[in-house]
Amino acid sequence: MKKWIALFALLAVSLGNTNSNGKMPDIKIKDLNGSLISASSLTNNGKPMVVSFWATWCKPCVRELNAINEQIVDWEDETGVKLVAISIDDSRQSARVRPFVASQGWEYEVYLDENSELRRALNVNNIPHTFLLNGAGEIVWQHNGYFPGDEDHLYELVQKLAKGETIEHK
Amino acid sequence: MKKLLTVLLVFTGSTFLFAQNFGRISGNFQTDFQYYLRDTLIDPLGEAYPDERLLGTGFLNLTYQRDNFIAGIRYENYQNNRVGLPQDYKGEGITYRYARFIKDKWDITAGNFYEQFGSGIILRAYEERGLGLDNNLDGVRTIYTPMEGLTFKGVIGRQRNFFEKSNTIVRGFDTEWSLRNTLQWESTTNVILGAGLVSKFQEVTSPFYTYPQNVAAGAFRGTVITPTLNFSAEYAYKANDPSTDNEIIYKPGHALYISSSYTRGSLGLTGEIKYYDNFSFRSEPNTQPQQLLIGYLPSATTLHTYALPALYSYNTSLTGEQGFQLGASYYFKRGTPLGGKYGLKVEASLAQSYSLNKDYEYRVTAIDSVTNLPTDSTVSGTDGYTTNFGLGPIKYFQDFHIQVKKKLSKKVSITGTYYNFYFNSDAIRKGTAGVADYQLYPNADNPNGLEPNAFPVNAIVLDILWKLKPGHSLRTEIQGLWTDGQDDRFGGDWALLLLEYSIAPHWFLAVQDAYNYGNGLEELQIHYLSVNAGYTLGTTRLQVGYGRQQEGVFCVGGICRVVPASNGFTLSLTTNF
Repeated sequence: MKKWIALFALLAVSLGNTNSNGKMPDIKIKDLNGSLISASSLTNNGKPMVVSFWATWCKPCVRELNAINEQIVDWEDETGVKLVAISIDDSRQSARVRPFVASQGWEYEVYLDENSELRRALNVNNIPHTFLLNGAGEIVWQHNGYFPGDEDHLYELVQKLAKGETIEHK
Repeated sequence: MKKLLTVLLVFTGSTFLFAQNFGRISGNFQTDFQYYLRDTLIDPLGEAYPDERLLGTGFLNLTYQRDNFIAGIRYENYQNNRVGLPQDYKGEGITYRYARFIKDKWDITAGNFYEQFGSGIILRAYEERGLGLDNNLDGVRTIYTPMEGLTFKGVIGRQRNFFEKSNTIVRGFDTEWSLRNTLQWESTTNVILGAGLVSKFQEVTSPFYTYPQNVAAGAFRGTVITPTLNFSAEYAYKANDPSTDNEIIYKPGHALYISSSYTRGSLGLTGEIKYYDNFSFRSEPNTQPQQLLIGYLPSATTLHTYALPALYSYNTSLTGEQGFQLGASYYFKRGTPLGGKYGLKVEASLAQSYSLNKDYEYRVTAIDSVTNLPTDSTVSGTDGYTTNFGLGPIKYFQDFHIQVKKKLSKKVSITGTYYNFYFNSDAIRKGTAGVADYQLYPNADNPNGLEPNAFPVNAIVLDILWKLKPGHSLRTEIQGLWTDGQDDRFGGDWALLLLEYSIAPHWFLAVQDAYNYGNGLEELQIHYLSVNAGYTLGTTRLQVGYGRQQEGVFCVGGICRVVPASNGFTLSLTTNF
């Protein structure tokens, strides 16, 4: 029983503790040139950044990235935001990621998380899963799943961050 | 009570400390319940109808992170596991806990960990929750990076086996060397070389056979990457490893996996080749198909997620297969004749898998007393068979598909896909992982080989998305699948209609009817009608469903998961924080 109290106290602590925001952990992911980089080194020079977990076989993920792709030029111009797409395709699919990205016409920064190391460290359950980071690299918002129109809500939050406002809901 | 107060005090104190940037706790939680209804149509004998009526499973992950230190635990519960998932997951407990320290050139994990060497052929510890697969290792992992681009990894541990651990010890070493990064080439070309060695120590007692105690597998790999080209190859060798998978033979195993891609502008080409001979690599030699796997053989086929084509998914044959996949994709830019106003995306792919060209050594075990002809035989000899170069006599699988994606107007976009499969049910389904293919080859009792239950499958999927007004959308899937194939109670023609209405960012409602109108068994020409509704708030998501569901990879409401066949009510809650 004590264990459970401890567990729930831990939960309460973490839930009540939204002020100290998480950052990207120091876990290695692969860029499309095969070089390993640390997820903690992803930055956007003090501007907001969207990190989206996806896979080539995940239809809602592709819909989300396509929907954002149609607007990304405007987003970049207006807020300086950058989108980083992290594929969790495993080794049977990962060789197809680069041609897939080209065939979709995406110009995102794309990385591979082949054995879901980063995904696990960030507690991503199902994909698509989208994180929004502020200029200091802190995770200020995250969202699971995708429906058409979600991208508009995401962009409202990006605009807030770009103006230096804080985001209330995680 | 005093103790409780102390605990609370400690944690109130730690709240303050946490706020002072003394680390952060995050986590995720999921729970699934299913209430089963007796369905005499899909299950006349009630074999898949659980005594418990209501089954519930769940897990909670907690991750603590402070600077270079990460620690985590996972609590899992199964009361009991849902139908179709491994029933050995029973009860509850902490199945995963670790501490990890990352500093300078070192990355050390003690406890449970997941890991992959190269493409995973000799070692892949991973989890696939939808399949109930989790083969994490409990032990120590050390990663040393003396300079950028050079990595050494060492692992030792024992594999998770449901709520226990295998007695077998798994040890591994891997190194990867990225030439451009270490030699600081100015060039845009990169060459990456790697090598790994994994060995298991097992203690198997058998009255008939002597099992080797130490079994090693080694692999070499190389990758060349230029701005347009990506070529990757891995070869692995495994020492003798008798098991029920390979009919207890002492032949060594070979595996070769090559994957390449070419990307130029909006053109993408891919090609993969696989060759696996006797490469089932597990902690223990006599297990269920998805249990205690150390290595992972990439299947070189496409993972389909639309419900009907997913009915005929391929799984790799661990005992031996060879095949290829070729793919092409092109994006016709907007403003071009084919691209039109919004552009046009086209992709196509062809994959084939064949048996190896094996000559089995066999021993006749039964003879017909009248005709004196053999009626049964078994694999014999130390090696069991010899492998010759060239395609084998049995075709396992073929997948050809072509997909077109087009945005028609500001409000409507459409994706259309045509599929053509050749599906060898005896090779793919009977052994789940394709084990025991001996029966399919020519042998004493079948001089011409067994005529397999194999058949072509054709399918079409139209996926139409209507954006009705800001935030409101309707997605429709119209699917059809046509085949004469029948596999026990499963087979024949299908039609499917899905309507999914969503109101961003919170709500969705989906209605699906899958109709197996062409099943070879008339009593199974039935409708699988289901209704699902969901509510999402940030990262928390509640989904309820009711209806009859066919087997397959099931995607609804923006999330994909593997779901077994059933009838009843479902409730699923996921969150992370």
